[in-house]
Amino acid sequence: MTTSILRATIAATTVLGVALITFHIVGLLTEDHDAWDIFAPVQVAADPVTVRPDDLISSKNQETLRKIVKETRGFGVPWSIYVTTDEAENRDTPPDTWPEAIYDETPIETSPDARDGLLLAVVVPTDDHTATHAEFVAGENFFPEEGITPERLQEIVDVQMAPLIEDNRISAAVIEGATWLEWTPLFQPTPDQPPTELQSGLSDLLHPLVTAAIAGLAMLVLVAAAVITWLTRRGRTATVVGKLNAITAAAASIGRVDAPVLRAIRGNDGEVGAMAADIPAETAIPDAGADHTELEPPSPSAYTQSHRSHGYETMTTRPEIEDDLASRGVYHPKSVVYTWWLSIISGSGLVIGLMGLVLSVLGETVPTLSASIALTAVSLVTLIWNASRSWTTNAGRRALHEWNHDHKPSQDDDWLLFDSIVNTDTYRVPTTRIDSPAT
Amino acid sequence: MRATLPNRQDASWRISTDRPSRQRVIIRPSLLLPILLFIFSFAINLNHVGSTEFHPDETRWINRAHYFTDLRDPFGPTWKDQYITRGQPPLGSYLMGLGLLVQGRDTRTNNVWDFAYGSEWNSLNGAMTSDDDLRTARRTNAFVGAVTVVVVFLFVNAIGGLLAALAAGMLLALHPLQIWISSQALSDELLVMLIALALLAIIKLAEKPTRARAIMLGILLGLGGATKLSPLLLAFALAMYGIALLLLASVGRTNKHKAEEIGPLLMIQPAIAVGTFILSYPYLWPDPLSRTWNLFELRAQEMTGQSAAWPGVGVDNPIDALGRIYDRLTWQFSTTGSILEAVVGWFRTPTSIWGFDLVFALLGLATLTMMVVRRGLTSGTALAAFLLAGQAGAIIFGMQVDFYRYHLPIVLATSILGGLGVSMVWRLLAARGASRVWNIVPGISVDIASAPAPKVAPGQRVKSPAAEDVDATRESALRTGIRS
Repeated sequence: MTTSILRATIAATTVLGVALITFHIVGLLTEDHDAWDIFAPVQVAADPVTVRPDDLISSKNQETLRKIVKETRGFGVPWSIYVTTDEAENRDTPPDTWPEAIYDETPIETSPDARDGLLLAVVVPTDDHTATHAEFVAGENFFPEEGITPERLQEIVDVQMAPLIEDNRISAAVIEGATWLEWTPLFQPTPDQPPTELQSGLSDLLHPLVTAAIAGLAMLVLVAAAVITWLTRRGRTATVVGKLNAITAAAASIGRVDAPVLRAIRGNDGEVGAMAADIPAETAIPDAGADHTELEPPSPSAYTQSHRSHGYETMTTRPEIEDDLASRGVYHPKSVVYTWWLSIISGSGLVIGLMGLVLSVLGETVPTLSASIALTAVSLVTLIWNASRSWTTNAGRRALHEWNHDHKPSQDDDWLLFDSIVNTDTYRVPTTRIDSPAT
Repeated sequence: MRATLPNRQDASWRISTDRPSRQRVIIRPSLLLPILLFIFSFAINLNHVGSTEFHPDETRWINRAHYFTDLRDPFGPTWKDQYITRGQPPLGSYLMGLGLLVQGRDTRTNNVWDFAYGSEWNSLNGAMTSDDDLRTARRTNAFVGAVTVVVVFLFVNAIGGLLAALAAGMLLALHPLQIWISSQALSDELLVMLIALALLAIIKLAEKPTRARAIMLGILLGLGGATKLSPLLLAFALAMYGIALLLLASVGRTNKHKAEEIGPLLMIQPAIAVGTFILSYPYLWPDPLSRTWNLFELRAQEMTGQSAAWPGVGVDNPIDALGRIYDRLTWQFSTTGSILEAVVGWFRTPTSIWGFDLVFALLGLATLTMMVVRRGLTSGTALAAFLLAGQAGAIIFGMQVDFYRYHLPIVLATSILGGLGVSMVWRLLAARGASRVWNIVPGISVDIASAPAPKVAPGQRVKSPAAEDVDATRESALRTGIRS
């Protein structure tokens, strides 16, 4: 088995393995098992629907009502419907007090004495159905229940049920009321609850002092970044010592002695041009039909092998070269220190910002949340930028400008070396081959 | 004024005066074509805004447009734990809100449509959206659809070149399902745009593995999750890919240097994506883990419920899902089928013609596989292929209900693969001198001069035809550095 076949087999197996694991996780996440029930259905001993006398509402409509109540109980709302006539009840008290009495006599609750249920009681006068009294009665512990509020319950009675009752359509009114009761917890927004003690305390603590402090820290991170940029660029000398060559010009252009600069200095290909390095030796031998554009990216070492006199033959480590550039005024001598300081400031800002995020969410404090988001974002961006921030001074930039002025693009080997260092830290793949007809 | 088309790969169309001058306008196909594609796709989508069939789901997305403005009060009642906030992640709703506001409307729209009742009940209760809101929201998606086409062009151009990119862009822009969903007020088009952007981002990450690019990829996956949940899982898949790369690198089975750069950046994708996802949805803030669980749970329950409610669209297993995809994208929705039907329609012969998009897609799949094998597992091509396969796989394995809109990410994949397939077919035809077929036309003579393959010594670096752009001086310097 050749290496390329082995690699392809390993690649395919790996991809297949990772895919299978991923799909297994997806399967686990989407599996419908018993432990999952976000609606938390409730069990209520009371009958879903009671109608007295039984022929007051047709059996078909009663079935519809039962279905609605069961569905709503399935969404976690413990409730029942009780429809009766004045004759069936035979009470001495006024009919508008009967709903409370009915609720007390047949409590609707999820456990004994929980008092957490809701009753839709409808009392129909025998002589005049249009004078029917409908009312929702809630146990002391019923609210909060998602979107259901006393106001919305009253609105269901007044707006949805009352017109139908006036039309003497009692069954339709009860079904409409039940339908809206089912709709309300699902689709009406849950009202804000009064803040807890923790929320109030945290909110008082966070705003305005902590908010101002966090916003101030965000400003501090920005100011620190600006000051350190200014200090770095100002440098300590007006001009650089000596002249730049292709490698030092590239280091000035990049602002750091990064991997491509080091590779150019060492004359070591490393892995620059990853596609070439990623292709086994035998496939690197092109044939007439092969796609060999991946072999194309030039590496700095390709140039330095014919361009050895770069001045760093005796220095190979990053700090050595950075120190040399700093001593010549290309970089600021305190660049490393400045970078550490800015990392500490922005890193601290990030941590404090994240803590502020958590605290402001717990305290539900919008101003602190806004300030924390700002601090987190500013700190994160600064931290990332600082990791590759240019250390080149103004003197270094001027020297680079002069060097660029003296070397026209594509005109000499120095420029090519400079260009290869500056641009080959990417793993770019020329891709025109696939759509290039042989004609 | 004269325009010249240089006889080179990836050419620029340079418009200059006869007198040589330093100032000239350079029109790059890679810049011009996406602009033209955008205009083309946007025009098609807009043209369908008024005629595309209404779907009640649109009212739900338009109803939640107020999410966008309610972000000003992230602890307000909108974001409490309730059915409607558990129902869908929020980004599609934000898009609707933004679209309405940008086009001069407000975000207070219709009531929530209750699928338990019919259109009449919902219309009576204010759940039917107004015509103006509907058209405005649809125009927003028409824009997103056109942007998606451009992003697909840019992505395919990055891995397969200009012709493949143009073909992929056209296949997507003309795809009936893409046009349909781009002219409805749903969130699926936004999902597809974010997946396409993630593909582009992962290519950029592979080109230059920096933390900023890794964060950009993670943010896109997180936003994808905030649109339709499934891209969130891709972040975990990518993390596993990163681990696999590092393991392979440790035994010398892949580019060690690049694997060590990319692997950790892939491994942090879940953290970035989940962070973005949580940050984007105030509902999650009080209890991120259990409420994220709620979202997945409700989606799973609803899929199961829908499957039970409409047995005809229930999907039993992944094989069944593949069959559904084949049916949908061959008989019902296909670019090639639509074009052929239109052509046949010119001859006033109405008929239903099957499309062969999937044939091109299969060719493209072979091409992409070849590219991945050749370029290696650390290449952007491999990473993007993995991402694309992950999204398509999530649909195939996760599909419990065969709703037309669930196929849109598959259309994205088939368009990308189809573009690569078309490009491959073109290349093969060209290599075999297919243009000589024009010789049958009187007055045209095409002569193909075949050049012998260059002799290359083992291990020698060679130049591809594409590299003929390289300046002569650069070439000379390159040869100096050839290892032999």
